Amino acid sequence: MQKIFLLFLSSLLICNYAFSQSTPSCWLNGYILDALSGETLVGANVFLPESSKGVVSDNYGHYSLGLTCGNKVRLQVSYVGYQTIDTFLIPNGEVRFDFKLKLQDLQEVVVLDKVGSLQHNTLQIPIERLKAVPMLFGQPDVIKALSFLPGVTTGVEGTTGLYVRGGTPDQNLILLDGATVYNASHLFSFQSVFDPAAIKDIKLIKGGFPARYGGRLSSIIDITMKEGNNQQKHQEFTLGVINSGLMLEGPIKKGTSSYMLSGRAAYLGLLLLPTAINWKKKDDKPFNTLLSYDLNFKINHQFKNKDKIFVSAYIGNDNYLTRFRADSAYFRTTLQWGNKTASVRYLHAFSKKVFSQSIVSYNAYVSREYDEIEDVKTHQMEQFLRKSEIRDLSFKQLFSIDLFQNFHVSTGFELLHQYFSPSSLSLSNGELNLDSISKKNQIFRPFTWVLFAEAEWDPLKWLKINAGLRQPNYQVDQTNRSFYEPRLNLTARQGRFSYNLAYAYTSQFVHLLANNSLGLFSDLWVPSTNAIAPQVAQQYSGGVIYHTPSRNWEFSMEAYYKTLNNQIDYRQGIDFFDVNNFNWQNAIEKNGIGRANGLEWMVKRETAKFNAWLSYTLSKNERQFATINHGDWYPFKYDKRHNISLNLVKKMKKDWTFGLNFIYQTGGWITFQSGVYQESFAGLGYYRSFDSSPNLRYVFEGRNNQHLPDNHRIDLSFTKNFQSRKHKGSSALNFSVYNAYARKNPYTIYPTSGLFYMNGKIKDSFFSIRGQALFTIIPALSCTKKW
Amino acid sequence: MKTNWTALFLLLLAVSFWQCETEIVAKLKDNYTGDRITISGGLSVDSINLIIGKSTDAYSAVTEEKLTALNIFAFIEDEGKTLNYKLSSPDGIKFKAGNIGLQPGRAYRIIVTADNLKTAMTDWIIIPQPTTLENITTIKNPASGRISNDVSFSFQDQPGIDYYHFSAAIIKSKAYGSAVLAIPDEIINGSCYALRVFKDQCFEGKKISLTYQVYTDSYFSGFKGPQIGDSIAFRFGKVSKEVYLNHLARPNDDGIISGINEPPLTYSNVQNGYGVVYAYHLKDYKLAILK
Repeated sequence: MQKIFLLFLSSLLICNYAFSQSTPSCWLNGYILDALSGETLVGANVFLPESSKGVVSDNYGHYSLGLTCGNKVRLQVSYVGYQTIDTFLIPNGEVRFDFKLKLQDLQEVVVLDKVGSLQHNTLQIPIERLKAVPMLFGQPDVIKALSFLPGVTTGVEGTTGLYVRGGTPDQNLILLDGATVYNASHLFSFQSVFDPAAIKDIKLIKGGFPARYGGRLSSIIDITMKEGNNQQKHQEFTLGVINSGLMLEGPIKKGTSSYMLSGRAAYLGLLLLPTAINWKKKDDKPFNTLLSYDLNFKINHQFKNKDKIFVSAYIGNDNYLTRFRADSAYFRTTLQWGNKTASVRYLHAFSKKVFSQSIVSYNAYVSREYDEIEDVKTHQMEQFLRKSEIRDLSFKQLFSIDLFQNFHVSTGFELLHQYFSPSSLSLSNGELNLDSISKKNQIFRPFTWVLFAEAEWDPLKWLKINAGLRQPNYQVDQTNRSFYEPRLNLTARQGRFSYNLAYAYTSQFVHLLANNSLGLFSDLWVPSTNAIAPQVAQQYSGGVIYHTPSRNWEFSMEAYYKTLNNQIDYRQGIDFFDVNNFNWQNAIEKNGIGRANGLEWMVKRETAKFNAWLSYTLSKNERQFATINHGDWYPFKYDKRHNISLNLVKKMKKDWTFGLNFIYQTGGWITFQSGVYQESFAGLGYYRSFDSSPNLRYVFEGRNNQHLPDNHRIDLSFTKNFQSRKHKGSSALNFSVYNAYARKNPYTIYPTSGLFYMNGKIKDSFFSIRGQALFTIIPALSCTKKW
Repeated sequence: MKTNWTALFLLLLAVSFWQCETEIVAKLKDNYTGDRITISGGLSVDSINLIIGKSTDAYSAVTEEKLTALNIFAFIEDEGKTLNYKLSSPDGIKFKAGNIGLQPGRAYRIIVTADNLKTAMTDWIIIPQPTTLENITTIKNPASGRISNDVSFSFQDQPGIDYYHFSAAIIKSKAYGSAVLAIPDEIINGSCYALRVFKDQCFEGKKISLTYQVYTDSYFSGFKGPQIGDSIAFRFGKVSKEVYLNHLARPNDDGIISGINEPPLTYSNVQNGYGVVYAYHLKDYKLAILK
């Protein structure tokens, strides 16, 4: 099978060789840096306006550009919020040059990106832009902010699970400095785990995936942590309604190495401390509390030979505790879930044309449920522990080779060892230690190795081709599975228009068993096994981007069609609150298929004073399982036909900034009863004479047969910036209102019914559909101080 | 000024949490497709007990009239057309018959007509064969901090697909007690269990032994423990596949839980109608409580 891969690689090299005979090349490469902090800038543009060609700096701020030797060229280097460098140069040989960009205005929240990278299927957004989006509790959230982009939606209002182009949250590969994050949610999914103070950049790829990325079907969310200011120390403190955080950064050795350390904690637990103390005093009143925190850490160093090393780590946890007394027993439940990630990345330049990135990463996601029942009189204890765990250890090697002026090759491999313990159970009784009571806990240790290669080629002045092949090989329980994943991206540019066609075949060896997007502790990450095939998707997409001559306005339209294979879902009728009582492999439906298609429109305005995104997505998303809905197609739970979002950020006088969101989404789908009849269980009671009276039975005739009410709301924010000349620092006070017109968007919806008999006859009944709206008009206040 | 900011912060905090849950009443589209005949109940070798009526929509108040079909004619027939028996009803809802000669291993169906409704007919329903327990014993078990009478029983599964019903409870004046069946992992893992019914694909052709722990202490308030005259009711035998499939298709809960759990689609073996008609062949045992 490797022959196909080698054949593909060889064809790239032959192609390179043929092309190389005609074009003399010079090379310009280096890093794009913040002039003040020395921090590298991810996604900055290096652009040749005369030929409309350009490149974007990678996750390390590195760029590489092929030029024709001896010709004078005009070069623009730009990044959102920074002054553009506009210069001329005459290429001669291979030149390394680091561009240092200066902030345009220290008080600007967002500033024009004058050049614009015009990337199709990809959205790269600086953190300052995402932080300007008003959010629930006034807490900036980089993951939720992505839901304002076309093709991206959330399941339940206020939550962080993202559904990209008809996919599910588990089909998003979330990378934090190269390490996978499995559960990106805190506080029962109302906040993402990414502390905005620690994040530098976020990139979302939703189609036409380059071959170096894989392992998920729907999107890549690539998040880069701040490296830390390598010129001087800085601190940032944020005080919010539900949590607060502190970020520290500074040089270890000025100009060559730096550190960044940030911590953030939610303090609901502190507010509920009195009830916890009362409980300890045997007040016996029930109490609940929820604690969560994040810690981010990163150091980097640049060696004399310009090699770079980055060490990053993240730890985050949630702890939910509840205590109450019922009858003659105390009941205590503790839920814990959290991620740990660590990565070491090393950049090395073998020559001015050949670059190497080596990444070793580790990540773990663990969730636990611990229950205790204590007899009030005898103090005898029964304990129950359920634990779900997944751990990854991976190594990725990427070589980037600038072979010729218009020909760039990236190739490499990945090794991934995983440990899955989807659901281990143990129980103790009395004073005994925990003792395993079940053999349900099956451990899986899959191993995956991947080869990949991609070529970026500009055969014509107006045409760019990115073609690649990825070959993952997956081994679990003596079963080997191998895929060939072709990837193709064609981009044509003509004047102010850019056209794109893309195709991507993707496979995924991990599944998330979840009943909704809440990120609950009961969600199980499970591997593909002998019996459960890997998920597979194919996506076709095409689009056009137009920008105005001033480049202040950008209009884009994209269309996609995606097919999904080997989908799984919980079996019909499973009780999600009883998932411990069965083996997950016997509780699922397999071999489901899906199809999703949509049209996405977006209008962007990015200027110094006024920024706006307006996006509209028209989409359809369906699933089919042989054993669900009588084998017929049915709408996916979060198939939302129309999705409109508007985000505005306007800089006002006297250092005020105004932000506004408007969201309108067609409601999702739910399975609801349509009819009702009288049912009898005659003859089937506990005892012959126990036969019960008839009861009402509701008729459920089709999966997801009811549209839920539409969701819409407006969020507002007002930010006052203060500049301290004395301490060379700044601060900002933010007041926000989430759901300003108090729309009752349902968080969950359910029927309530009652039936009253008299003398064996129905006397009265009622039926209504009720729901809970968690977030009606939520004001919040937060302040940030930087010094 | 500082004091004012602190007060405003605390006020906002309180307001945020005070109003973060609001009940709403939604109006959803009525997707009811029209009234149909409904048939529900069971057949055994010595009795037939059915409730026959009509369905109504789930979005308005339910009344006895809405569930009652007019001028119902109900018949039972067998596969060989040797039986065609009209079921009688004193109230037009409950249709009953005593021993009319239904045979184990034979298939029957119910046919119903009513005014203004399409004729409904069940699929063929097979009366199960009788089954006997190889042994049944009761021991007093004070372990695990609870006092129980452990009812152990075993039986030999026969070839072919069978569905077993077993239940145990403390009875006195038709009151239920609490009983917990220790279900082996292979039955749960094989998804062969629904309510009180077991599908034998998880123990095909094997001898199986199970134990009911029938609690006889007063662990929970409201249950005073066994009283004079109490006994353990134990019920065992085979049921038809319709019972199992109907149990599998029952929604797990009502109220807010049903907004989270995905309800299964309703099972019915009634063509042109709703409802489930099943067959059973059960035997009752009355066991003395060991004190």
